Amino acid sequence: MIPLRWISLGLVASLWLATPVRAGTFVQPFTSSGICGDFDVAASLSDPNTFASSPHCTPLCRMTVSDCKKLARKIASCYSSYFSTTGDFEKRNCAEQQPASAARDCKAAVSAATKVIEKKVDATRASNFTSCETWGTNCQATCAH
Amino acid sequence: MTLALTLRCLSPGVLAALLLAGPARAGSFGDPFQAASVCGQADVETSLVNPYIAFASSSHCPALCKKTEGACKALDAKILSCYSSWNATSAAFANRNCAERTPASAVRDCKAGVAADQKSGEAFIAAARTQDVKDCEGWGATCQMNCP
Repeated sequence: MIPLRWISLGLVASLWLATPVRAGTFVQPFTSSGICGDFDVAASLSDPNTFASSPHCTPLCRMTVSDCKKLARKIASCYSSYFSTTGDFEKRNCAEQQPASAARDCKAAVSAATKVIEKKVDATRASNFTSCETWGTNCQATCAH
Repeated sequence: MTLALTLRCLSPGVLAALLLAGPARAGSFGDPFQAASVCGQADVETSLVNPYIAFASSSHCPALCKKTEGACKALDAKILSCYSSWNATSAAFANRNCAERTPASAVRDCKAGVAADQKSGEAFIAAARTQDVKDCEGWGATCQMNCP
């Protein structure tokens, strides 16, 4: 099942790309933000009881949380670059396709949409950090030592 | 199928298999990071639009081709950086397993096996990076050739 927060990020992106002011004569070269991977790293982790038998269970749980966040941060950085790049191309389209008087409004609309997506990426990253921490809490709860 | 194509097509799966199949990874606790594919699709060029028509109608076609090529490389570097971290993480857990579960006499060999696997993973990522950069440049060159 696709997480709700993931759908919402995709929805924002698709709304943005579907807006009429974005229409131009050249297409976006990048066709899918999916190349950046699966934002929800915690969902890909094994069961939190994975270290239960280890005498170093607690530090291993902490290590996993830290690495989970590190990967989530890198994936978020990729999404951020992706949307920033697509925004740049949309602005080029504005400059090229719109009458001069409309180009400014077009670019402003693209900038506003880019900001919305950036906020969404930030919020998703924060939410995924929380998921990593929740995994860690559940992991530590299974530690015997 | 060429080696390059094989690497591009199978990179996440092969990488994961390379890292998880090594005997040095066997231990009593599992690596919590199950799938390198969380890091995405490294061969960014394959996700780009057709370079023959991408910007052919634009008066700024060459600049747009160049910009796309640069962005292709930049995104690829970010994705491969994630794979590299994943590889290091996997090795770190495997080393912990060596220290914890293997008889003391075998710890050194176990860790050496982990180091070899990690090195192999890094070499794989480096090769993918080299190929992906070439692919991005190839896309850019084809794009420019089709500019008006």
